[in-house]
Amino acid sequence: MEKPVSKKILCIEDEPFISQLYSRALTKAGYSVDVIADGKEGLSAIQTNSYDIVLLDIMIPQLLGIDILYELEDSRDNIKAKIIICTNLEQDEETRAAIEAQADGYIIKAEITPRQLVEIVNQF
Amino acid sequence: MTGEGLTKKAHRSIRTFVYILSLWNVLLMLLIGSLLYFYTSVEPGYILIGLMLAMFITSLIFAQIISNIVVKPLILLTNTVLHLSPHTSNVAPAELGTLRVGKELVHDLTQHLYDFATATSASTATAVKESSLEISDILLPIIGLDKNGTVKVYNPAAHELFSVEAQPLDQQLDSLLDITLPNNSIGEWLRTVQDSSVNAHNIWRKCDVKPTMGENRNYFDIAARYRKDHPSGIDVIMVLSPQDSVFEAENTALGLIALAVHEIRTPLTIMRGNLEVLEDEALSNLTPEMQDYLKRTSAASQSLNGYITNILGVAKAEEGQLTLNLSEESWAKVVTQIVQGLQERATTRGKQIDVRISDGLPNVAIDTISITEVMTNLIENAIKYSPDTAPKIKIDVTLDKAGMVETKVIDQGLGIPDSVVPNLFNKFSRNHRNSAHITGTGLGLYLCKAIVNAHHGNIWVSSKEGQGTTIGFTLLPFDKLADSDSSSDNIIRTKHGWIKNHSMQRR
Repeated sequence: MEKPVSKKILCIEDEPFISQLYSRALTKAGYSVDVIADGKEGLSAIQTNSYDIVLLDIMIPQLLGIDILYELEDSRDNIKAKIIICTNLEQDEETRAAIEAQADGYIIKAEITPRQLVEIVNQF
Repeated sequence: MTGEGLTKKAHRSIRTFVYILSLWNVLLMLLIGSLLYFYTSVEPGYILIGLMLAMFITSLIFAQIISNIVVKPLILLTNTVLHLSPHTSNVAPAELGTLRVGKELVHDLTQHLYDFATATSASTATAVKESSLEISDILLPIIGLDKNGTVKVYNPAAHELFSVEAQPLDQQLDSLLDITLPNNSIGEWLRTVQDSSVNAHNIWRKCDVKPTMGENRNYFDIAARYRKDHPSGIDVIMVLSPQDSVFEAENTALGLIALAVHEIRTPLTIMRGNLEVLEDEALSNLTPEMQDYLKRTSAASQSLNGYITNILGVAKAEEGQLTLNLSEESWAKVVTQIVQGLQERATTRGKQIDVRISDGLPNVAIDTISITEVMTNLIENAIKYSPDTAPKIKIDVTLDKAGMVETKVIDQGLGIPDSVVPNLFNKFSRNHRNSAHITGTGLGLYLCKAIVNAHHGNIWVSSKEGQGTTIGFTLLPFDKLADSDSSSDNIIRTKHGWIKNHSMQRR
């Protein structure tokens, strides 16, 4: 399913091989993609409120993905972006509950290929 | 009354009753015999035969009555003993009101038994009191409660646990400690044993204990002993055994596995992504032989992902952290999707999967992610253990006689030796005859059993060496599930993770 080019995606991921794979697949599918490898910069970028979808890794330098969610807690309703956690880390129940409350999706990266990621993003 | 007196009283009661019944029997026979002889023309011989028959019948009736009279007190006395025993629970005390004969005797005996039980407890307490051992000498926290759950005795270790400066005497235990037991609370257990027992004991493992006035949370095994109306006033004695080091070690082990899994998954993510790009964009440029190599590499990376998931799943299952989110699903649809996802892996190995699903199957209660792991493991095994000469793998889905949805994965492969079958679902179980040339961790079936059992289903195997193997499991239809978990209604869970139903409002 083709998406309009105006849909903007922010990929906050510090592993360049993975961010390149995702960026390549999403761009081919018609999305505009920005990649940030730093948690603090990623939080600032989300707060500009100019993205439609955010792919957020958990284990990123400077500020963890889960901490970004906590920082956004109060202003969450003012941010239009759908936030999808993309991680390979298994969560304890407490963290998982916190993520489910704040995020719009949760993906285990090793379980999906770039094509499957596009299919998931297309649902948002 | 002394024992000898009670025995004599018992003998007298039963003797008296037998005499009365016998006299009654004889008088009745004389009366009937006389009436027949003097007022009828029946021959004396026949009268005699009739009387003997009547005596036989009445004797049977009286024997039954006497037997009831003797047995009933025995039953009541047995109940009393069981009620007093700490090893039996939920045995109600004897109800003497149901006795018509020997009530006083049984009452006396019952009272003696209760007095004996109480005296035994009191003598034990006296022995402890008279010894040089004091509970302050014991390093484990010890707490004594009265029948209302109020602290009556404690040692320094327990005082440290309460984290209060003041004396905790005469305070309710639950105002001092927040204790989370595996299945119920201390208060609930106390109420249960007070209603049904004179002596009781219980042990709870890995209980979460936190002082109400403090922050530190620790883990203990708790042993409690209850004695009804103990002369000391202390009906409950509790001993707490710290388990923090054990719990932390277990948690550390799981944490290490989760970390290792995370590290392995990162290069695996890159491998799978790059392989997909090559398959999508470079496959047509390759020779058929090279295409096969690429497809096999892709299939192998999926298998590797499966092994990693198994290892993590087993670690979680062993720590009781296997979380299931049951939801109503069409099993036919789920099976079809799973098989579609595995077809390429099967085709790469030269195998073919045929699926037969009965019509009209009820929806099932499943955690889709974990059940997918089960099906993936079973189908992967069938692929691995089927030779090139027997490429067909069948999947049959039917409703069994008990109304459970039964799924069978059937191969015509190597089969399993009889000696291996009993241990098949154990951890690290592998058939050593082919383990040298067929890879595997020995964890897959162990995990399948844990997941299926957690779904209230059963898993079984039927195999003949050299002819093939059938592994089947059952799933509960959704309408048989007592309480469905609707806490995550707006979350769509998939193998890859979950997404919120985006038509719902975000919280």
